[in-house]
Amino acid sequence: MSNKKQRFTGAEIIWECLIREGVEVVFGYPGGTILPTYDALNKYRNKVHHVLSRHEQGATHMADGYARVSGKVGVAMGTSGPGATNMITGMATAMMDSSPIVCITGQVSSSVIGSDAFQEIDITGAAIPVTKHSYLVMDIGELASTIREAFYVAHTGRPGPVLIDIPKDIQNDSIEFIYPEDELILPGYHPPEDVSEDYITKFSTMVNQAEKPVILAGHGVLLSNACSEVMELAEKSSIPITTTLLGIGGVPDSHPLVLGMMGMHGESWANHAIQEADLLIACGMRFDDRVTGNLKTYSPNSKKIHIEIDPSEINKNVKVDLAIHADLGTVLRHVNPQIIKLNRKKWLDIISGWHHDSKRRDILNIKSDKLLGAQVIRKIWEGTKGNALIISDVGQHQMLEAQYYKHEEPRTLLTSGGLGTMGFSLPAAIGASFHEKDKEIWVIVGDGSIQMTMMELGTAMQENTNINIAIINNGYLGMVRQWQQMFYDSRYAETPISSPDFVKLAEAYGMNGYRVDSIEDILPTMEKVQKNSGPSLVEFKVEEHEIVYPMVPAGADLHEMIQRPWNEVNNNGQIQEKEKVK
Amino acid sequence: MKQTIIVLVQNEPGVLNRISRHFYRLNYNIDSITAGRSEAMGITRITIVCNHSDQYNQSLIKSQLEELNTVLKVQDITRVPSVVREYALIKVQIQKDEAKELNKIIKKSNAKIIDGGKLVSIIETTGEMEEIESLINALKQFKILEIMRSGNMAMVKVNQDEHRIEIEEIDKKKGWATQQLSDALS
Repeated sequence: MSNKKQRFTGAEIIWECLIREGVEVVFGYPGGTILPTYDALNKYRNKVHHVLSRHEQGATHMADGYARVSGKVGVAMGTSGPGATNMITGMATAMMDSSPIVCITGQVSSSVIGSDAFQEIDITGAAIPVTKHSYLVMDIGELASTIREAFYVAHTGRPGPVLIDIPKDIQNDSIEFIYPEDELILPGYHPPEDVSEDYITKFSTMVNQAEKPVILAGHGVLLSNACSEVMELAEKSSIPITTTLLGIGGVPDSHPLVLGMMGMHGESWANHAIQEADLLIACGMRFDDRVTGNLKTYSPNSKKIHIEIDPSEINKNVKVDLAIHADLGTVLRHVNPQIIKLNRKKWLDIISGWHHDSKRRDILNIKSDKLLGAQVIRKIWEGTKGNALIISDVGQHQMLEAQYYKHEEPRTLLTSGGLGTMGFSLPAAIGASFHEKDKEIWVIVGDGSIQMTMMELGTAMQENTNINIAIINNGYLGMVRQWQQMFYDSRYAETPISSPDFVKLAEAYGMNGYRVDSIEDILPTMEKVQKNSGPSLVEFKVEEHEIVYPMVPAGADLHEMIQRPWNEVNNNGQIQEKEKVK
Repeated sequence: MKQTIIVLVQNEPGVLNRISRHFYRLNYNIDSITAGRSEAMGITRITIVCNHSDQYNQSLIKSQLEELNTVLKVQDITRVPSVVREYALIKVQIQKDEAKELNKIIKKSNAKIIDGGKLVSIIETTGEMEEIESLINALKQFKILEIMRSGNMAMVKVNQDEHRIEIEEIDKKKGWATQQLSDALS
């Protein structure tokens, strides 16, 4: 677009603005009120690729997956009414996990808004709780500046979803237009600026004086691109690091200072370290209930530093001693030079001591007649040499992935953490594949989760997406079944779930489908899959009654983990169906 | 406890909706909400008084409101010495022989009759919440037909300068072009 004034329709302005924002791919689904914009797409095909999802929820997850892996803003598009309401789950998922997406919805013509016209819904109102901000454009003169503002809001500060609702008549209208180049002025929006020297000194003093510090690395480490800064702090002062679910990949799992994941299904030594610490350095995380357990007994003897870009997260769940509202990378670049070199051998030895019997209790060291979910994940790790991009869904397989797939690089695990959206993985992987074109991509998904958004297999087929889908099929909604077994006396209410023949399903979609039920077959099957181009699907038939240990029951103290019971370990691996745990 | 918050917002559709939902989410009941034009063009000043027994999250509401794009500034003045006033309109009906009594009550309090018929009058008053409550109590001997109260408006006292928010200050920082209300009206 030249900077000379030209006449553009609203629909054209949408595409012109998206291209200006560097958008290369849009995920969406056409419909009545967004028709003018789809019509205009024909003029921009050489610049923007449109991916047709099979459901608008899928489109939002695709945009989310693309955003998480690329760090760029993902774009989803849909029509008014049901198209827009279908996007709510995707926006909520992105909101909880701070993922920058822009959702563009068509709206009924401005003259009939409020009259309950066909496919009318107040989506800007409905989206308020699930977006960082939402806009209704009622004047074509404000369209370009609104889109620009939406992108800015989505990816600055704490990233998140933004919705732009555009009535059909605004898309059809036309205007003399030049792209706005003036400085963006958002009087009510203040991403943090620099950090004061005072905070830096306090921070480094607290670290230098601590004897038993622990770094809690959250999603903010990835979002702020502060991975090397966090490692520098850890290495300089020999501070052990534990990550949240979304912090996985922010620090290399193989590093001796990295303890693994914390929280409900975290490593027992990581949770013990938090409870015993005298200093917690929380980096871009929000003390979610899944990582703290009982707040009253959470890390009772520690001072706490919280570096967080979102001020409303500070002192929300856990009161901290030093709160720094700023970009993590910026803070650490100031702090690191003031950190004294220490080896903390005593503290690290204490933590190693907490490993004591964990290895023996590890399910991988148990003989089992049936294939286990944990074994599948470990073999996928071996078969991909730890280099794949993994997109996991929600449930037992998600926790097993977090425990048994070791991630060395940032942005190699995408998963729905905060909202726990079942059905996230397949569409998110399709979205991510448009950024990671050469990487091996594995979707790790349960038999329950895949059936929530299985229609997106059609999208994977149509786009010939290079993704591999590993379905961990245990015939149950496994995590809910685990809770029923542990806390509801094994009354399995509506958790047994039947599935279609996934191999035939794959074939129906023109994909290669495989079924594996023994550990020996995993790697050879993976080799076949790796030779395929386009999507492949592997169904792993696994043990039905596998339980993810360790586990901190909801609301229990973080150090009160339930470990795998010894009778299960000694019983030559026979996993007991009715094993009751108090 | 009562919590009093002053919010400066951009005056645009939906802004109250965005603000009020955060009170709902914390299960805080809004006692009163008073909004009106401020000294700067396009900026509305709102006083919100809410009632709750939450000791833990009361600072959360401020940070959550501050996060909204349409909100310029939030100030929790619960513990800041402030002038708090309310305006009320009260419509009363009297019997023929009660006019003298009504006038006596009006005279004694900071009130006046701004619209009077033979037997029905509209009384206007301003004051602190307690003053208004006591006037209403006094008027209860007549038949009260209608009460309309503005809710509390609050302003930080002049000797509390460090707590004062100046719109101009916000503007300078963000380069937001403001126009004084007088300019706007001319």
